[in-house]
Amino acid sequence: MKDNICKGRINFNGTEPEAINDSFNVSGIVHNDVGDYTIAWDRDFADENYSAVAIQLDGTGRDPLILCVQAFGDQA
Amino acid sequence: MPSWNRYAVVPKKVKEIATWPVQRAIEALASAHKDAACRAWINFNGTGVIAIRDSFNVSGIVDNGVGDYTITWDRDFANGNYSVVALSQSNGLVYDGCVIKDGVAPAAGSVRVFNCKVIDGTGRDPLILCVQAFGDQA
Repeated sequence: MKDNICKGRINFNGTEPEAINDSFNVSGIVHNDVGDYTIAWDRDFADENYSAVAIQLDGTGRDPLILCVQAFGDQA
Repeated sequence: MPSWNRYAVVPKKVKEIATWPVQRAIEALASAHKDAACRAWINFNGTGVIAIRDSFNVSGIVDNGVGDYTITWDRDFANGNYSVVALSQSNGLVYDGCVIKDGVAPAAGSVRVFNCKVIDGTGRDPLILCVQAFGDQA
């Protein structure tokens, strides 16, 4: 159902070893490359048209010390 | 606190609120409601003929120029003091940043966002631009 409730959110440390500080509806994160992460949702969205935003606190190199992501949209 | 007594907390709070003046109780409920949810969000294609993929509480978008968009809310915010955030997809060659358009403060009924290249601040149309807004509504 489309509504205004956050369906997925995460706050994690992007520097190695990566660690999730807090999250909702997140099954895991993958560090693909420097500054490059994949966040896997526990319960999927219905499609790829959801709205996701992020903000980060810089850390070593371009891996952020804190990266926050939140997503809104329809779920499967 | 004994486990059996934890359930007494909520009724106690309700009892406490019941003793408040009506105005205070209304303000408390309104405050809790205000902070609870995202009031508007959108995911749209900012290239070519711009198109909304999905949205909530958005009545429309306008392409003002390269990387420059106005998003109009269906139900207005109470004022321009709401919190708005945005994220765009870079094209792999340059890195983008999203800002509130210079000199155009958010209005109750709309916000103007500008997507630009971090390297020189010039506008660029992103394939994906996501915006979310939180705050009091009219």
